[in-house]
Amino acid sequence: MEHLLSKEYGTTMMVLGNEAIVRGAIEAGVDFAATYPGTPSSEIGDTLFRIAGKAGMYFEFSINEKVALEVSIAASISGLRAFTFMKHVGINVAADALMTFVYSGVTGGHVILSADDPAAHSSQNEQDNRYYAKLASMPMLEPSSPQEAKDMIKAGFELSETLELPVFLRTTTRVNHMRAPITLEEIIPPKKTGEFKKDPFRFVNLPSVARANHTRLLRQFEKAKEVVETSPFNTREDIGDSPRMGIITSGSAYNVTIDLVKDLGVPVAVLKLGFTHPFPEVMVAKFLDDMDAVIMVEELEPYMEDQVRVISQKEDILTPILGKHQGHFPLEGEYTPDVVGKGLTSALLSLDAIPEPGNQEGDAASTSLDLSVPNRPPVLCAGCAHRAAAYYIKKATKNQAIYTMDIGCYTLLIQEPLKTADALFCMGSSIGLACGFSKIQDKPVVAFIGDSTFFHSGISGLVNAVHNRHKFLLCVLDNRTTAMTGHQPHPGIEVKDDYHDLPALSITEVVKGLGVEYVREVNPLDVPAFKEVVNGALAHDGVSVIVAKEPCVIFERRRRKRAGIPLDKPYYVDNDKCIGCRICVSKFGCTAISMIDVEGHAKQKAVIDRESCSGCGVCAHVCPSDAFIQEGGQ
Amino acid sequence: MSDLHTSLSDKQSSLSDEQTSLSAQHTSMNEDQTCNILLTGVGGQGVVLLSRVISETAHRLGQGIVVSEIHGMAQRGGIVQSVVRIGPTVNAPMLPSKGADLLISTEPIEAYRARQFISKSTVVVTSISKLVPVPVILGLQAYPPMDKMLQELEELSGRLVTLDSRVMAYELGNSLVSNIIILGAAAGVRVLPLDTQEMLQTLSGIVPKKTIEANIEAFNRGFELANK
Repeated sequence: MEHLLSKEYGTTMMVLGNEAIVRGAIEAGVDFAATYPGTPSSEIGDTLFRIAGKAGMYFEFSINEKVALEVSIAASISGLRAFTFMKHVGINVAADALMTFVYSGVTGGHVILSADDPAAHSSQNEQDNRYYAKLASMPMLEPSSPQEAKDMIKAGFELSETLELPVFLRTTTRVNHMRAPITLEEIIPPKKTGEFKKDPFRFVNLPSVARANHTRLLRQFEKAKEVVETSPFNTREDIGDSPRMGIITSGSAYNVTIDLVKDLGVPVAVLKLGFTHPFPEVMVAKFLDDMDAVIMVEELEPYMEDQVRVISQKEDILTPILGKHQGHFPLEGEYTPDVVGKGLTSALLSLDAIPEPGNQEGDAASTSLDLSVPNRPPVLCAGCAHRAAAYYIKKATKNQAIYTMDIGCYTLLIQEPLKTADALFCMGSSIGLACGFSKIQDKPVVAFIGDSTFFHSGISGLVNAVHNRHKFLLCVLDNRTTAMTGHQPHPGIEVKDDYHDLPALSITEVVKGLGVEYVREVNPLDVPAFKEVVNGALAHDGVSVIVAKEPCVIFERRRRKRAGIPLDKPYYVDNDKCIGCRICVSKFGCTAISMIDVEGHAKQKAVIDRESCSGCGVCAHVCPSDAFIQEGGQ
Repeated sequence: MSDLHTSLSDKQSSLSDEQTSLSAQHTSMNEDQTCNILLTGVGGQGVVLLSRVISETAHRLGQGIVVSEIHGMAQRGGIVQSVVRIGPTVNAPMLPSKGADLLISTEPIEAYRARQFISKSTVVVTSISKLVPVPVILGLQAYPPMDKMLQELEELSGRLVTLDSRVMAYELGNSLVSNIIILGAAAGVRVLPLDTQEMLQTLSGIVPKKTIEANIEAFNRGFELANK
């Protein structure tokens, strides 16, 4: 029994924020859900992929966020409850559909979740997606805990149905990856089918319809302004007696703030806003009026602070507002207790609300030693085929090419020793960049993209390359899964289980169909064959594509263990043959290999960690002295 | 405590005296009844499992609990950290500098890297089994001297417990229980406001059935080492 489908109503359960979101969707009777995987939202999709069938919900991994939103829109304009979720940058991809979808609105319910990533723990930027709610005139909810995330997704559907608008649920990494108890409530069973009632003058946004729909959107949004003023998600909490000092905060920053203010020594009123678009103007105006000063504590942009300043000006309330505009709080990174503590101290000092702190002895954690600590960057796994592909492409291009990179595990090729990553901006950008680089300079250009990323947004760039006669090598690193986000399937993978029967598309056939003349599918672990294909591809006058196909080493290891298939035997080093040249470590960099002192030898010798060696055997090709030998071999 | 720790203490007799008195004062919870635990280590070392055993035990016992797990790119050998806060009114799953009551680390560099969270009221439990970072393997950076790292951790903290968990796991004949030995040691320093038997019950419910016995043995081995 899946614990998230439990009907033990009233009991509590420790869950990850993302699991609480899944439970909320199930309790809300969501009929239809779609996503493209992306951290910090990935576990929502992983969980739904496993349990949606049992819950009677339709769920799919769509090929990208725009398609995920479009397929879900069909459901929510057909009277169903649809849930679309993605990481923050996914909203950029979906934004084209989103900005006009709000014009038409819904006949069912629609919650769109954006998982933002302050501090960019696993992202290419830390953009603040609250502005999307403003840009699209969408109501927005911001949870600060798993329980609240679950409550808000349910409330979000009710709100969406009342206002006939999609509702934006904006989380951050700390909430998605927070584990805390939730209380289980009743599950509403999903409907089986939707009914689309044709209404072209609402759903076909040609200019005249769009103009009328914009008026409609603004009218519906006016109704939201009434709802927000009585929302249970916007609450005031007083710490100490008759506070005159106010704090307005939201999301993860609320958790940190409420833990800290108890020790401030100043009575404060904390206004926690969970429903932040439209902004609760009446409530905030009253709060401003009630306080001698108000401090704004919100991560990233001054989204709320700017609106509080507008209210102050509009209502002529001259209460000082302290936040990012005076430099008390930063515009970047996560709001940790240290960051919030420093900001609050700075703001309160500027108001003379607290005494100057004395010279706190030993405030810094440093001591006399403070040793330099080596970095521990995430690295490609031992035996990862991406490493072999990049190593032999780098060799064939004599490290003289421009290497455009894409988003996936292979982004880690930026690191020592391979360093085959020169530019990266977003999903699919490797191919568009390669098109441009091939036109403006003479060096060879190599683009790397993963299999899932190729389907997500690589294909259109490749069409552009063929049509505009660009010349570069595209290496599709096809490891048969969406590895970086936790091994989700993608359109190149056949999926067969109790609830799925999904066919696989061949990347090679897709590429051929686009008119690419040089297309080769080859396993990069088959070193002689791979080298030959790379040379052929680089000599080709035009765009050439290598599909470097070999399953993700972790995924394959798990699959074999489950299926009882033996793993490949690891390699070892023959110390008499190893000449200590370090090429395997300093040039190739497989993480199973390191150098150690060996008695009786002047130079350090390579050594293989048996536990991590996958037996791929590429080191045996990299080594100039044939020192790597497979166990049980010769 | 390990031999290494003892020998370090001997070298700094003046410090040791101070630490003994601090250790004696240390209770299982600070004034506001909150216990703040920072777990750190390297992807693949089972840090999140330790976090789950602690947090699920606390939840089952009806205590307030909040946990953060930062996964990110941890699966690829990066740093994994988890904060567990137990207490009646815990909200943020993050700690301020010097805010840890207990630091549990599965690798010595990672304990040292987290030293900003250590104060004189922190108990540090760390493995001294090295997991060499890739930049060190490549010869780009150096692994810091172990004795110096431990000396500084000892100076900063109220109590330092070190154990060579990898060697101990090999001695038990199961390289996979290294993290559970560390968990046992963390339970042995008696900072966690949790009954040890309850923790073992949670552990037994999480790990695969056929490994329960090995895990309990590993836990007890760590517990005995620290509970001295």
